[in-house]
Amino acid sequence: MNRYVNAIAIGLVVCGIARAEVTVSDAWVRASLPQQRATGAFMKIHSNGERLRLVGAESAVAGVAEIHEMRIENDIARMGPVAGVDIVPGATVELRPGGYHVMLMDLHRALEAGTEVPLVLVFEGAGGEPRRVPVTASVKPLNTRVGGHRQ
Amino acid sequence: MTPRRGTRRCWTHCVLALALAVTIAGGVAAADGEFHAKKLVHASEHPFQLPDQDGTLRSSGDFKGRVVLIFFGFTHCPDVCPTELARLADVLDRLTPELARQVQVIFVTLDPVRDTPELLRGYVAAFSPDFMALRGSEAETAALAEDFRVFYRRIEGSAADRYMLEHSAYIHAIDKQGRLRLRIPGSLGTAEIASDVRRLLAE
Repeated sequence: MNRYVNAIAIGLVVCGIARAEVTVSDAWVRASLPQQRATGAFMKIHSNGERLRLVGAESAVAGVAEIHEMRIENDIARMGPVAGVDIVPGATVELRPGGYHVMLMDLHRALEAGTEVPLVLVFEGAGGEPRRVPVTASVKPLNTRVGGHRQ
Repeated sequence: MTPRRGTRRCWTHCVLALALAVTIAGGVAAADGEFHAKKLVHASEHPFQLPDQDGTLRSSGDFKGRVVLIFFGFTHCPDVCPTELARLADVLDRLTPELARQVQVIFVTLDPVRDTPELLRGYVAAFSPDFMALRGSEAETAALAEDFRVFYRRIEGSAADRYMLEHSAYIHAIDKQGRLRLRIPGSLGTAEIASDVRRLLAE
């Protein structure tokens, strides 16, 4: 037990104790076809420390990654970039179909289901340098449906 | 707390009774031939003729005798388009194979510049081998969208080829006589859509 406590303590010192903990889970990307230059990445983001704002993203598989929002207004799908997504401490913000997503554009290659894609999420906090959080997202089939009877 | 319990129970009963009444009324209404989706007041034909993903010219008349479910979208759409196509695949899965064969799902691209026939071929096949994609010229696409009262608008991105398209998110249902009958919103569940399709097939 002590060993773990020490390890955590050392970890905190190394990371800089004041830093908030950001957890990104269930990250996935919709598979893309060879000529498709864009797709979306989705995930859950949780901060147990300071208030953060997701302001950007990067990925080795895409020329450009932006934070986008899709919303249905009067049966019209509106979509486009947003300045940022607030991550309130204690709450889990979900980037999911029908809401926010990381828009991966200028894809360098087709993303095949079953593979993994590296992402870096960029957060702004109360002050200082932006925080860069690496995330590994699993590629799910193109026909993945969230919130329905079949995944 | 205790003196109020009787009142609260009465309320609970009232609410339950009301919920039951609404459920029964809804059930009866559906059995009477009401659709879950929005029924168009004037059911009329909206003829079209466009090449499919294999280059074969398809006319609206080819689908008479079947129910057609049409969705307008684009493959660079990260969210609503794949979701709606996956939902349409689920609708077909909810029908018996015999009924499903009498339904044609069509994806009309609003982005013929980026959506090449090859891309469309792989795209619709990812959802169902039976789905069809139609791709017209930009002018044909605009005319067909206008005829179906489908709104779409190009949203410029950070580079010329990074544009997005805002677009109507509903699915259209065409009956066996080729008449545009229903506008199905994204909020309608696949069980309800399947029910509406069965109703159209039974006409």
